[in-house]
Amino acid sequence: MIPRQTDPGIDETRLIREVKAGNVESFDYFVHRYQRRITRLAFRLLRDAGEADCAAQESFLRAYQNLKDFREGSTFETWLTRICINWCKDRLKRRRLVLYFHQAPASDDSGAETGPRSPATDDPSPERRAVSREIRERLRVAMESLSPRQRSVFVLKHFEELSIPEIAGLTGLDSGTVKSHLFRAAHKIRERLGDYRKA
Amino acid sequence: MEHSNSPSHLTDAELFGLAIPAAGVPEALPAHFSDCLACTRALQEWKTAVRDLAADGGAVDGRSAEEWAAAEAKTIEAIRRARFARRPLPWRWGVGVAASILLVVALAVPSRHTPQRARPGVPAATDLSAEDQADDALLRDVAMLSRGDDGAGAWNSLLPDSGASIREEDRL
Repeated sequence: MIPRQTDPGIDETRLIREVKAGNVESFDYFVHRYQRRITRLAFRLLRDAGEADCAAQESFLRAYQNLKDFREGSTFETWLTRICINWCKDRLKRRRLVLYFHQAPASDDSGAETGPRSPATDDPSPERRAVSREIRERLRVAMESLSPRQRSVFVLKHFEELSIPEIAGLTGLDSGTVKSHLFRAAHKIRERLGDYRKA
Repeated sequence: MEHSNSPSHLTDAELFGLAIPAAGVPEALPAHFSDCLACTRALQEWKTAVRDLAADGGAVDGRSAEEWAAAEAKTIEAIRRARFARRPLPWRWGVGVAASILLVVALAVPSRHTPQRARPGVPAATDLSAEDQADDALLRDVAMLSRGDDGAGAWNSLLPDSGASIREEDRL
């Protein structure tokens, strides 16, 4: 989950100033601090571990290269998250284009199979676990039908549990548009689930 | 799921709608849930599945500290490379621009002042005797006249010296 606050013991603004002044080693702090979170967020958006790594690395690289554009009023983490979300959206768009032209089925990454087994399940019986796994898989497949923007908004809301204003801040949309995307995303998934049941 | 196939129960889409409300705000449960244990259970399963999917970090979550350290090191290395790649950029641009200018100058200057190169097998003008050079000049003038290049200089060169002819007439 994306944290809402940074470590109060470290003055990130000072570190950013140092990086801007040419001390690239100061940037290592941000990598050590945020790489895991950014990679996890990218994985939730892309559902592919390799692409998530690529997204994290590219996000840090872009952040470093465009550090002059960083405004000191905002937090580095928010800025980095925004860069990562944009990168992931671009990647999802490209993936949809590839799917469109090649008519290939959605890639079945290993996440659904290798992930932790129902940590929140009350009844861990094999039958319940199997049902939960099936629902999860169907939900994951249904999410593939979302547009990159709908998907990012949906993941930020329901998986990262961010508020509407926080999502608006990260995506650069206004709150009304975020709500609209959320509604459409949920509607589209519901439609997909309905189709699945009929099939 | 067998639950969803029963017409009296809620569909998967309806269960999803309750597990993940479209507006992001939990909705009131239908009265059906107070009577139907199967639907209550199914809704719980949907909520669990959503939570699991949210918590599912896949291969990313299963990484060891060493693997994370390696990933961080890769990122730091990429940033260092980018730093060194960026630094000489203005210098490289300068070299590129200078090379382009030199190339343009090198191509433009000779085209303006192309030296008349001697054809192979033809001796250079300096190798000829004075008489041959005079003949050569005469032939050049004739060639110019035949081309229609009637510049004053060319005609004048063919005319006898006017001063000398006047003096000759006076003498006669």
